[in-house]
Amino acid sequence: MPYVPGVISDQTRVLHAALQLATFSIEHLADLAGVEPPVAQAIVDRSRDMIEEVGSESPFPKLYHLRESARSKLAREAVDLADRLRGAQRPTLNDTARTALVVIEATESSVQLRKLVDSDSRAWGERAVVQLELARRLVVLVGDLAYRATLRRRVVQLAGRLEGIPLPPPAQPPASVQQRPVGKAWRAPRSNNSRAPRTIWRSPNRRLYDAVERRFITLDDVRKLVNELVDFVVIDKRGKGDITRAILLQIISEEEEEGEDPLMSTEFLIELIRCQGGELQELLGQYLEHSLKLLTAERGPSAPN
Amino acid sequence: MNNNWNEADAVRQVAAIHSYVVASLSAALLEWVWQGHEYVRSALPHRLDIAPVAQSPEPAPARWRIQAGTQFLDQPRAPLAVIRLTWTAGELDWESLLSSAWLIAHEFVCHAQRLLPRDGSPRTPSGRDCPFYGGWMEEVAYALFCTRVAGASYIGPDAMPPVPHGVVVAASDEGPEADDRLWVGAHLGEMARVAVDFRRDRYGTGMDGRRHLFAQQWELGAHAVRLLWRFLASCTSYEVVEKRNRAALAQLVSLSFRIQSATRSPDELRRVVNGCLLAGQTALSFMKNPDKARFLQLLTQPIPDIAVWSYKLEALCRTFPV
Repeated sequence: MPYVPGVISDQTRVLHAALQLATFSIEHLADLAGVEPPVAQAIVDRSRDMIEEVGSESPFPKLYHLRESARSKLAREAVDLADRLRGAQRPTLNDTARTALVVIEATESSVQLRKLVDSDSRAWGERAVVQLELARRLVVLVGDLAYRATLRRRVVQLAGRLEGIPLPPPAQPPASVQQRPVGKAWRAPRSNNSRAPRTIWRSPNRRLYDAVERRFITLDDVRKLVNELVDFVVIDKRGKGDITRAILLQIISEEEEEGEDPLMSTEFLIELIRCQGGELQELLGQYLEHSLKLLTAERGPSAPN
Repeated sequence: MNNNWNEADAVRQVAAIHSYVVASLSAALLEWVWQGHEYVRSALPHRLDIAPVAQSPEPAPARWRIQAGTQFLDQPRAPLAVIRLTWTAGELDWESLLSSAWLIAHEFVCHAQRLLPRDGSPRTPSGRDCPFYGGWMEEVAYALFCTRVAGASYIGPDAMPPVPHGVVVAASDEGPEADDRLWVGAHLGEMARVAVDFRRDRYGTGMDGRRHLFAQQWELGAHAVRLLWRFLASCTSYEVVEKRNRAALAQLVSLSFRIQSATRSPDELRRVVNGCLLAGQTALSFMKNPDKARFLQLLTQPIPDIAVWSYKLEALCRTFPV
């Protein structure tokens, strides 16, 4: 039997349990399985017999490989065997639930390490948040509802313990991604996180799609979002990344071009262009931004047009 | 316990173990990883430093009386890793001696063979809590140890694989004596057994029930590797199980070294581990063939940009209800 991690046949499953049982002390097994010590003694004796039977037929390393491959499953299987011996029935965890459990335990470990280890350099808190998000995604995939409920409860408990740790920013597509992400039909992300900015996608034919309202919108609608103080970000689907600034400039440009009463005079624009690239550029930018903030703070938020 | 064994022979025997282990693993890495690589024509050079010391520098884990570590002495265009094995003089026991086989395999695969960063800067040791080097690569090293080192059957002294000339810096210029090579071959089974016990104690899954502080972080990486191994084995066309596993292991080893050559940022490596965990489990449980093909393509192709690679990996799971 070769060493195959994660794949265990029925025959070797029994052997795994026997291997683990044989290493238990009588008191430990009796306590674990809730049986009397003489029964535990009988179980251990039988397990040792089974190992000797297998050991006489196969070379030693293989036996230990088997034991190693079941390392993470031994204890649970031993309990299952003990439960079967006393008539109880326990379902076995499915693979996805087991994976989710690994991640949840790692998250708990991160939370503990946050207290134990220097948290400044290692950022254990943020790490735990990322792991918790992974656990949440895995728990959704768990098929068995009973396990899903139990695991979800642990996720919620962990989320409560992690409250107050800032969420890392959502992963944006890197600039070098030139094609649409792999997937059958494009589905706009529906974020449960109310703090995340609303995402607007610009399609290759330059139309804007609002992922929340699930419809195409115009620049005028974007201007309304600005006036309604909605936090949003515009992403180019062809891989140019965040183009919010370009869209905002486009709104100002169209408004200045079409509006009867332009905000910026021709002289102002000429001076602005002259300052671009010069020594005054940074200073002017800071000055204009600061002045606008002061003005807005005095008058309150601007009323939508 | 071997009653005839004497600690005075330990240095010579560890050198023989090192020679055998490194030659076996180098053959696998040359075949699976470095073949066709643009810059690397052979396994990266390293040196073994064996040091019985008067006082152990670190407290020995559990019952083991031997420690191992890797130090990088990289110069521009001349990478060099030093694997240092230390034990307290007079305290080395038989099982600790045998565990040196696994320790050398671990240090060689996980650390000494790490590629130099693309900017040519010297390599730096990874963090102890890293799920990639502590869990992922450790699991890969153990799989290689089982299949290429301990799994080799003992035939005779000539069955020992030769040390590739000019590729691996052996502990001794003359190589191990024939008696020592015989001795290594005769104890391969015991070395495999001891390796299992040593790994169990490293994770802290022994009978005392105390887990290592970082064990659960390592488990993340190890679990991701097991998922990927199962997925890759399910994608091969061989009918014989051994062949499927071997082909999958070759792909897995190659993937592991491609990942570590693409980045050395702990955050990026952690993101890769997380992405592989989710994508691997989704692939095994839910994915249909077209998505599986894309996943397999990602796992087997070069990784020019790890950020793009991770993003595509995560994008694979977006069509699922998570």
